[in-house]
Amino acid sequence: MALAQKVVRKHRLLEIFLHKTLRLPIEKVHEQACKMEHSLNDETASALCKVLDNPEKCVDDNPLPECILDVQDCDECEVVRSRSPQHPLVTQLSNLKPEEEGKVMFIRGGKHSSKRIQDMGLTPGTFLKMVNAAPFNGPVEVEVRGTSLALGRGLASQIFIEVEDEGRPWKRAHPHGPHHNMQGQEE
Amino acid sequence: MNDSKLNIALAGNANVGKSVIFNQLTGLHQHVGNWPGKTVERAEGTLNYEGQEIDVIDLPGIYSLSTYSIEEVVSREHIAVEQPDVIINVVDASALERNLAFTIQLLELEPRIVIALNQIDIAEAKGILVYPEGLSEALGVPVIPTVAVKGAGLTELVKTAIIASKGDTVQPIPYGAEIEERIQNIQANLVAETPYPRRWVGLKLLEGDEEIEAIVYEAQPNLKALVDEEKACIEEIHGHEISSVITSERYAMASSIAHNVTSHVIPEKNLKDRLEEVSSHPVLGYVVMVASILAVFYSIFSFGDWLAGLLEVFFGILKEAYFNTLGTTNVSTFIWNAGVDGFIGGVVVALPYIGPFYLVLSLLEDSGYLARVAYLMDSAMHTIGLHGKGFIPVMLGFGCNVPAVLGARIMETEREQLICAFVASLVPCAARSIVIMGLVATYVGFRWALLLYLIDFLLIFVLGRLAYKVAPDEPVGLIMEMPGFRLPSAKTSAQRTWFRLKLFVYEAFPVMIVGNFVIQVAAILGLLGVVEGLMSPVTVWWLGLPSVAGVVLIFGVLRKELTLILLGSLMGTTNFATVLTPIQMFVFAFVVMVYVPCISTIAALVKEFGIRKALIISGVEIGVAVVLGGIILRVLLFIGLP
Repeated sequence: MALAQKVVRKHRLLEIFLHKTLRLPIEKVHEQACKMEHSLNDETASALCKVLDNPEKCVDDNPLPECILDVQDCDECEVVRSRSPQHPLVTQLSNLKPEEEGKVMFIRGGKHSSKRIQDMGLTPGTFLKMVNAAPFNGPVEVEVRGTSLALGRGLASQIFIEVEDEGRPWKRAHPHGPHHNMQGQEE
Repeated sequence: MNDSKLNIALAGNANVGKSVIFNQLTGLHQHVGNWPGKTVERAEGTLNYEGQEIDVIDLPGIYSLSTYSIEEVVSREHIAVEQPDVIINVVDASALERNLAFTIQLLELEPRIVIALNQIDIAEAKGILVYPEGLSEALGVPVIPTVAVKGAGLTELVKTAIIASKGDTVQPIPYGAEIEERIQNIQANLVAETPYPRRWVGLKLLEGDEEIEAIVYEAQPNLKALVDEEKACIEEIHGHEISSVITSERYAMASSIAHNVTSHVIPEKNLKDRLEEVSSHPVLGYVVMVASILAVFYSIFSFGDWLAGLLEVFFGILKEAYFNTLGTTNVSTFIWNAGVDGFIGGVVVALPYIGPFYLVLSLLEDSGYLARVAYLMDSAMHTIGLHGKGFIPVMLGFGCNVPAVLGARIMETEREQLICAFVASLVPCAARSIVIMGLVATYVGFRWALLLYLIDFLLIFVLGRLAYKVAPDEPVGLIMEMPGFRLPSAKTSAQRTWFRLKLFVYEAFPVMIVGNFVIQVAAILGLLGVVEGLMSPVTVWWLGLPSVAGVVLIFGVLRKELTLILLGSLMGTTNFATVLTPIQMFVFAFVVMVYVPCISTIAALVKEFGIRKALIISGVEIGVAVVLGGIILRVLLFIGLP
């Protein structure tokens, strides 16, 4: 997951670089960045970030995904993150595995589709749980606000999720309300 | 009691039992039509309660009052502009939070409103208890608990609605001070007249609603600077886009109200939950889906075939009686062929399949299963530029294109509806399969018949992509609620089927009857020979078919399976091997398969999208059939078909 997040960040950085520094038209930078993002190593990305003066917003005014740690695997990640817990893992909703939970951070993409996503209740700060993902890159089913929603993979990849970390469970009310929680404790 | 009629509008999310309430209230006193100029169903009905005449209108099931689907536009126009006397907001007690987010938006339009807290039985089964009194207090509107499928609470609901209709309009729930003050500020500076409540206009301007912006800024261009300033201010504070901030806040209100008026117990996992799991399972889900589709198909078309056969016999007897009485003269033949046959065609070809189709579709819709099929087929449908819901009409197209075209209205926007109907009209229906099987499979070989299907699928793929590319506007991804399974109400489905069928007869039959009449008159006037001559460059030279094919193809518009019979009678034999080469058969079958939807399908297209678009679709398909037909002929001649 960290990988996807990293690639998104690189993509955004490249977009900013192509648009702001190289002055390419905004509608052309996405395609170009898509091709470049995979060959960009972490060192270059970090250098790019410095040159661009640590930008906070992407060319389309969406927030840039937060910088995450440069780690190779989960073990290393755990060690590093125990040292600096302020770095959340952010990934696209489409990358979540069934039963994983998370919180909506922000939504990218066209005005209409992002509005539709939010109208259905997936607003920033909303907790959700991945229920199921259809095969062949099909839609995902998530549990949110007490109901089940299906989202096509395209829309799901526009939604960025802060992923629940086993070490630090969310401090929040259970989706089924406070009474549910109480009963859970009684058991 | 008031003498004048009362107008009630039913509003709410999808899958909350709104239509059930509508049907329970109005019974058979309904009229189902379309919203003017829109492919959205408009169901109206009347009800008499203790001498009070009430008009009820069932608004489409939606989640928001933005303008991103046709259904949302229709609903908000109706509430804001037509201003019904009371709105009954049907709320699903088992999904209170999501439903209340819509309720809050309704309140913003400052109507008179009553809430039907529906499906309390389903909520209880899920372990959710909602307190109607608490909800009523939190929202400041009456709340009546109901179980619509059993009719529980509905009398109380109507009584309360009548009382509410004489009361005051409701106050919207205020946002946090940050947003609320800015709404007030914009409202205070708003001079432009609109049909909407002033606070709502202020809010929508802040949200960046394009439609409201267009209306207001045209009349008062200087307001834009102020609104932009306020927007920037909020975006600064929150770091999110303004519409996102407002939607979030709305959901936060809904969430807090829902929490305050609900208590929970942990329910046991029951059979229903397991069925839901299986139906969207990555492997089993597909097994269940294929089985269900086959069953649906088989039942619709075996019933349809049986009924069509029966009707054909009946009309055969009628025809015989007619000619026995009047004698077989030119006049009597003309009257029958031109006047009656079109009607019979509609009754025999379309109705036996459309009736059961409507019924099964309605049952599947209400059971919550259709959403799962759309979920499973989403990625496959994306290859032809549609999302998962489009699979249902396309699948139905294999039986008959008419229900397929009509089914395209389950898509959200006009763009998707049109692409979906276009693709569906290319699917080889049962009638086309008869020609392919009867001609190509029988005389050329089964493999060549399969090749034809393959070409057709390829064509659907390519034309679907093309339509996706040329159609204006943003494509729409799949986003929908996955409703829990429940037993559909047979009464509601039967009623809905009846009213939809009636609408179809009113709107599609005239096209079929007139179309048939025109062709028959042309035949009498000897115009067909002329047309045959005019068409011969295409049919004979380009497509390499015998010249009679021109007339056959024209009549094929009425019913495609007729082409085979007609070809036989015009060529004087049904042993096609003696009069046509294998290549001619292949090309003929290809052209019949693609060239134009039959008159019933065209009628359905006209009904859904208007004459212009129906003609464009037909024209494109004729063009593709002719151009590709000639190319196929030359390719086959070149490689030499056995």
